[in-house]
Amino acid sequence: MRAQRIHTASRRGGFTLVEVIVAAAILVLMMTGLGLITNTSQSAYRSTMLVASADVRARRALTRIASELSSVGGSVIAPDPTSVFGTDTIQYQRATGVVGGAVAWSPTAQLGFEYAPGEANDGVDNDGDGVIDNGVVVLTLNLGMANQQRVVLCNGVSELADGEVLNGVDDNGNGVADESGLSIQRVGDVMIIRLCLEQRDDGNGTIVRTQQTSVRLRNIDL
Amino acid sequence: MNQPNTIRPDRSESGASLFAVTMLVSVLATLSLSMVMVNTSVVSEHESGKRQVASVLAAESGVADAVFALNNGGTGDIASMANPVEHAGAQYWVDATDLGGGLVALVSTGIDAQHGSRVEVTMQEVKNNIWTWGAFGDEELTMDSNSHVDSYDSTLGDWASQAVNSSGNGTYANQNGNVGSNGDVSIDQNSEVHGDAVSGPTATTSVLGNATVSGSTTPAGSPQALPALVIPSFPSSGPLSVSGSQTLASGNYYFSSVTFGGNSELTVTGPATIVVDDYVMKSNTTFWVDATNGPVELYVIDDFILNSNTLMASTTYDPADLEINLESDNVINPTVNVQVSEVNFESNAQLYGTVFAPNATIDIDSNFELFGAVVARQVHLSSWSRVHFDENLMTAKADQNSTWQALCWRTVAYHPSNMNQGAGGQNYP
Repeated sequence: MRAQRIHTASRRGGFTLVEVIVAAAILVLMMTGLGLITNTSQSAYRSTMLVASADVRARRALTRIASELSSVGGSVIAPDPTSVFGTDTIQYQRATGVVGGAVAWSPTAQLGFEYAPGEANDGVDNDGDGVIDNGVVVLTLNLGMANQQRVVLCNGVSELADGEVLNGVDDNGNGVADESGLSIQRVGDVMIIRLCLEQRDDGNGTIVRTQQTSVRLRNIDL
Repeated sequence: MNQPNTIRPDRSESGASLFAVTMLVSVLATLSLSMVMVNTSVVSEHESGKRQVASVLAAESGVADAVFALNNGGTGDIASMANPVEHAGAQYWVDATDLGGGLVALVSTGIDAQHGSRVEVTMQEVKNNIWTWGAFGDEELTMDSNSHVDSYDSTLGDWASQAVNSSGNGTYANQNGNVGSNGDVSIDQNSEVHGDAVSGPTATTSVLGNATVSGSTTPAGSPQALPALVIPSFPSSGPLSVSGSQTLASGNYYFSSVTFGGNSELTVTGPATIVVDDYVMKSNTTFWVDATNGPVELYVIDDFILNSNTLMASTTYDPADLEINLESDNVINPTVNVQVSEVNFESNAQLYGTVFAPNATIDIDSNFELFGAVVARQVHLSSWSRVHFDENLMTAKADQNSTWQALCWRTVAYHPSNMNQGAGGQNYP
């Protein structure tokens, strides 16, 4: 009985070559599947992250821009973006209160699109971020003064709005022609601001997100 | 005894699968958790943004509330931080500060949960200027043939003593009897306007035949805004039938009707405010105002009928002593089936005072003589009617019915720590 037990243990303790190959093949298949699933999940995760990040950045920038423009005066906006082309750069002054019975104004500020550092308006991706001629939204306070401050409100701004081509026509049907990634247009006493962000994702695609807000100009008659 | 030998190899074989499955689940769980966290973060930021917007809307509602209060005689203060106004889940309150010079700063604070917004609106008082017109119709003004508008200054004596100038249809005093409308102005043959005849910005003044306008007929640069008519609310005293000679002491009254019997007269001691549903003066009756201590304001909600040969005046015949406000709407709207009010200013009557009827057509019959001014939705001056604008109204009533308009709007930084600071906005960061 004892010899038989040892013999049995010895026979069952090893694997045949076929068993090992089959097991290895199964393991490779499983790991490959796992890798594919992981890769797909990570890709989806990164895309979701990029979209969410772009939306959040655009929303924050638009909130700040709307806050800046809500108290501007109608006589202190330059240019007054009432045309179909709107503008991507605007200078303005904000009401800061009433002094001596008259409205007091802040120093001139500027909001505008600028090409990103290392990028130029040449149809080439100079900075190698995968997007051609993209830019940033810059808020400049105390414009032209010694204490001038420059704040980048948002980066990854596309040169042109999604679906727009420089042809003098409103290609994307949003009421503005040839608008930049930052578009500011006034309709009556309402300022409409559109912001289009563009970013290369991990694959070969590009994420383009556009958000819009509007703000009523309370001091437009001033 | 053989059982352990058969179980042990099975456990060994299941280990590889368990490891792989565990790894897979771990990776997926990590990714899922990350995505959930990202999503939660986005939702949280979105929710935060919504609450911030809600607080802005609450603050704006506070401003609207305060402006309404200002235009109705209030100070502009609305609620308080300790006892704010509930507004769709958010709260607001408004602190008003009189800055002097006809300026009031309204600082409205809106709060939604931990989010707050604060806006400051500086309001400017716009003095009432409707009493610069002898006759003004919001929609139109027409003058039939031989009607007449001029002006005089009641502080210098009565109109007759100042009417020393001759014209085609008699005499006139001064030439500040302006007539106007936000619509068209039509002046028929032989009529006289001793002053300007001003149409609305996009309308015209037509002067027919030998009618005369001594001043300008250039259209206005902007429409004339009419103040809101706010009817006071008092406990009802029922109907009042006037017979013989009656008096009414100073005070506030609301009558369902006031009806003058034949040849009766009522003397009201000012200051008094009288609200009436229906007001009817039969022929040859008189409404006197004793304005020794103050003027009388008469508010009529429905019918207002002055029959022929009636008189409404103060004992000193000062038009500033009697203010008649008509809520009456006698303009038939073809799309609405309603009972319209009756508003009559019949021939040969006299009225010393101001008439403000933003909803009504005032049709002043022939030979009616108005000393003061009339502003209404539409004004029709019939043949031989007379309006003598009292120039004293421009100063005597300048402070009445003033309205408030926004001079400056701005956002003010909101910090929970500065919620107790005083109003006015200047001290806020």
